[in-house]
Amino acid sequence: MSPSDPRSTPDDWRTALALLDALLDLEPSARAAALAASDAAEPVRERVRRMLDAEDARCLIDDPLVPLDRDAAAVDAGARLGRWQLLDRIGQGGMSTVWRARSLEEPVGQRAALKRLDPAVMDAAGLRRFEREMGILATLRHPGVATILDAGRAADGVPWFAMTLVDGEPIDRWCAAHSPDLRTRVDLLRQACHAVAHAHRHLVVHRDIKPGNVLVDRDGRVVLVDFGISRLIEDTRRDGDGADATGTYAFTPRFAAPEQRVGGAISTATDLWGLGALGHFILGNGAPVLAEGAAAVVPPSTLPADLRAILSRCLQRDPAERYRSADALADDLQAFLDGRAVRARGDGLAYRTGRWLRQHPAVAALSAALVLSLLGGVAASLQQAQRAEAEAARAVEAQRIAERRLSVTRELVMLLIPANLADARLDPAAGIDAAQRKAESALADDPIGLARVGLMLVSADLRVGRVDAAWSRLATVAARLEAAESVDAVLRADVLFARANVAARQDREVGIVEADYRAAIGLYEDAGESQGRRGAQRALAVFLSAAGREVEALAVLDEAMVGCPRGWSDDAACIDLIWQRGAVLLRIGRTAEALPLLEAADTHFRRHPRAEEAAHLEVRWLLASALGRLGREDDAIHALQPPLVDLDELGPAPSPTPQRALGALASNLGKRNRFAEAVVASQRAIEMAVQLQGEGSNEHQNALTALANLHYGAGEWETALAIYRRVHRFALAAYGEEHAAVAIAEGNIGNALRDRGDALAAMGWQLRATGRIARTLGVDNQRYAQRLSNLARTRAALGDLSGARRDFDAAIALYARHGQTGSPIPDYLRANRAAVRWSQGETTIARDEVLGGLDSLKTARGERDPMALEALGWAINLHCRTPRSDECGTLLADADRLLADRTSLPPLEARLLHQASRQSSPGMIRRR
Amino acid sequence: MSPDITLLLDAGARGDRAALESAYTQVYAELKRIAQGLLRGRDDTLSPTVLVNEAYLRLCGAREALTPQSRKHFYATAAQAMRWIITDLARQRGADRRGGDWQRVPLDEQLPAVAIDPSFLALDAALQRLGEIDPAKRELVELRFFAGLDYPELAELLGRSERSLKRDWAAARAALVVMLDEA
Repeated sequence: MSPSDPRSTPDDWRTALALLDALLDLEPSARAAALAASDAAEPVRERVRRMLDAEDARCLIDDPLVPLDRDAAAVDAGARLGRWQLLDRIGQGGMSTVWRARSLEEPVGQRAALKRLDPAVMDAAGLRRFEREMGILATLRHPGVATILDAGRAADGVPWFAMTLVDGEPIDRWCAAHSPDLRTRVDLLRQACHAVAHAHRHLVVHRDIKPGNVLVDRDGRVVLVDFGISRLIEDTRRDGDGADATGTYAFTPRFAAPEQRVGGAISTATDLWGLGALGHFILGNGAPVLAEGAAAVVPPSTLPADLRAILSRCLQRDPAERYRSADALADDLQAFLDGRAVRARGDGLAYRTGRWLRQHPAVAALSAALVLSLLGGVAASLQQAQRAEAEAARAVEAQRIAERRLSVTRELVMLLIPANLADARLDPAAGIDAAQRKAESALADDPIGLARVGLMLVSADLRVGRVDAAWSRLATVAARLEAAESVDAVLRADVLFARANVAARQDREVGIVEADYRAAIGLYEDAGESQGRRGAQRALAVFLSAAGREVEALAVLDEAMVGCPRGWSDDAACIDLIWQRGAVLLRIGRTAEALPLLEAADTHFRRHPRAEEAAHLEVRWLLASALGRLGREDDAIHALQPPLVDLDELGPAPSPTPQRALGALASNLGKRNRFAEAVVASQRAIEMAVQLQGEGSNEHQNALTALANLHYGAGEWETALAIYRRVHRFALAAYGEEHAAVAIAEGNIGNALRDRGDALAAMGWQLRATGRIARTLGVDNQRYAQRLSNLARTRAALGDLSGARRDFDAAIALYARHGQTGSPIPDYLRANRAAVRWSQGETTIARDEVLGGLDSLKTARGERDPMALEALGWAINLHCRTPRSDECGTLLADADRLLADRTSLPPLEARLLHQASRQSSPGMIRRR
Repeated sequence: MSPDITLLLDAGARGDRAALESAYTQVYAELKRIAQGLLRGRDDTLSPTVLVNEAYLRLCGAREALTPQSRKHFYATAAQAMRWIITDLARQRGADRRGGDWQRVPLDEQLPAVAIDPSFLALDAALQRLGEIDPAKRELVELRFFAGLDYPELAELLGRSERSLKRDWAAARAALVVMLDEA
């Protein structure tokens, strides 16, 4: 319809619409007549007629704009993934697609259910963890668990895994089709419990138990699918960045446990809720609803009392109040079926032993079950009593055994990886394996002794990074102990402790790892084994600290110190607690408190050198970090050097401590202007990072950035830029675009470009970095202030005065809010901003501010400090231009004096100062 | 950073065009970001209402509630943003017309896979025309169709009865049908 057509003017339309409005008020039958009777022009009436007819027509806006299921069908039937050929699609979810598949390689024709995960729902961390998680899940073998047969990544990056094909349907559909009686339903639930119990024994939590994940096959047997898969789809909160939670749910809200909904710790108790919710559902009552403020879900009264009690015990808000294990739940369900008394209704046996366990009931619930499941046997306390009796009777025999073990152990220590760095060149794996073989032959008839050696070797495996080997070795140890006659509590504690260590390294659920640690601590405590207890408490503190729960870590350390002699003692375990406390304090920024602890530990180690040099090195690195943060770089360097004199002697070391030590050394050397030495140390740190954590890893990026910063500090822009760009590429590859690490890299590139003189090119990077920091870390923190200040400098370089001024002002305000008290950075920024103020006409204020900033910096950091030198340059710039101020002469004289000893100054700032003073007095003859 | 969206919307309610445009940009950006976040791990389908409500909570939720006028402005802005997003994507799909065929288009990964019919472009043009004639009706279509608000929500937001809204919808729809036909 052309615009010139008289029918299409807006006025005509308005008239028509008005008429339509009026007609729509009438009954449909009356409309035609009213239209005919109206006095509108014929074309208008024609239009209205057509609009009235439109009621019968279909329109795009009739159906709501609801998106359809995302179809990740970039593959079709017949496609090949690994050894599998896709046959037909059997399921589609929000996050994945399931295909029936058959194997084209041995065993040919094998059928499987192949699930393709939508990579859009997995963050970078999840994708990286995929293989590891699949490996863990593949160890689950139980008739009630769909076994993982295979997993991989397609060429397009889509992760997939194949599991046994279950010829059945989800339990809700099955129940609808078969209408089973109550007993059958309870039995189905019981089967599900056994499957879950198996997974728990292997430290896997399902996390997403719901009818859709519980299948019933042709024989009426229950099979659970998708154990632990939701862990791969965790939201970004897990990365501990404090990043803004995007409110994603990796579970189905209706069946989720209360702690899942609030983002609390997941543990095996979470699955107990899930089983309860499943039971609630299949017993005909839909998903359970936990009323706000209620302690538990109240099951409907139509169910038998015993069943109600059972369900209620699962659906407790507090995980500690639920069944201790899926096996316990299964037992109660069986009791119900057999007509026996159900435990849920009474007080039940007291499985909880020990003060620790009583203090941590959630943990107690898990630990007892785990201990028992691992080793078999009766309740802990009972066994201890038995052992005591047996011991008394077999004292002599025990003595003999102990002696033999001791001698074997001594031999093995020689074969094992020593903590001495000098011997670190031995091939670790070979050493451990040799030790295993030797132990097996020497202690063939002594399962307890063999188990103890096994535990030692598990530590060794961990130390060299063979985490999966450690896990299998530990499983062997556990199996051997199960067959042994009686196992004392301390050994049991050792096993749990070892398992916690391995599980932590395997990045298992925090709740599970913590449970093992606390269980071990409890057993050590009960057995009066304070050394073991302290060791376990220290490990737990390290674990908690790494998980961002530093305050809890400190509390654990405090408890651990109970019983330690006052003052600095000779008890190695107590000393370790002291410096560990220092490490945690350092982590949360309480540097001043950490320092005396670390100094004391360092002094102690210097006086009592230990066979384990690694501990002393760790302390020295921590001490250096603390000193560095307090501005005492020379002391920091001193702490790191002897006897670390010859860096080349270190060789490939099995722990990251030397790498960090080198990094700290490099940074401090750089600050003291010992540039060449700093670069050497830094490059060595980079090599180690690549060796230990891999190229492009987080540590590698940090080490590279540190080196680039050194070059930056020396004014070597091109070199710094090249490295920053490399880090940027790594960060993109590792995290994707929207990540703080990428933003920091972008910022560094922007800064280097700007200082090289390329403000225009810098600007793009600066803006990108600023926006990204704002989005990933927020705008109300010191980092953002730092970013803003850099952006401001760039704007100033480009002549955007008002923009620069605005950003400087904002940065200063933010720093005032978030900086550490007494930090000179706001003064530094004010001095920097002064030039902008001058250009904006505020000449008097500008001169005042730059002097004020300079004075503050000199007082706080000394006049040779890089920031003070820069500020001096700015001050000269503003005071020595026409009309010269009275201060100009003094400032130039100061600059002269400082530059006389130029080599002791940081190179970049020295150069800037030199330029500033030269520019300001062109006529004078300058020295050098 | 940029001014509070609540301030922008309040200013917009008082007629400040620039403020409104600024709010639009923020809302648009926020919608995209939320969609990406929501996409991760949601079992149920994702509807525009969810997106818009999330954006509302995110941008305005924690602070004091918007005035009713500003709230309306927010939703209207969000709806327009959605309309722009959808139309732009339809445009990107190219000029292929297979009238009636629903094409499943995986959008840029930041949005759910909405079935995009090329006639979205025509709808956009028709809405443009409707807006020139009767802005209130155009706004109603945007709020209901692009932002996915239902009648009770619309009634509360616009301060009108459901009955009158339904009547207006019928009228708007009729006009659009005829316009789409004539195009």
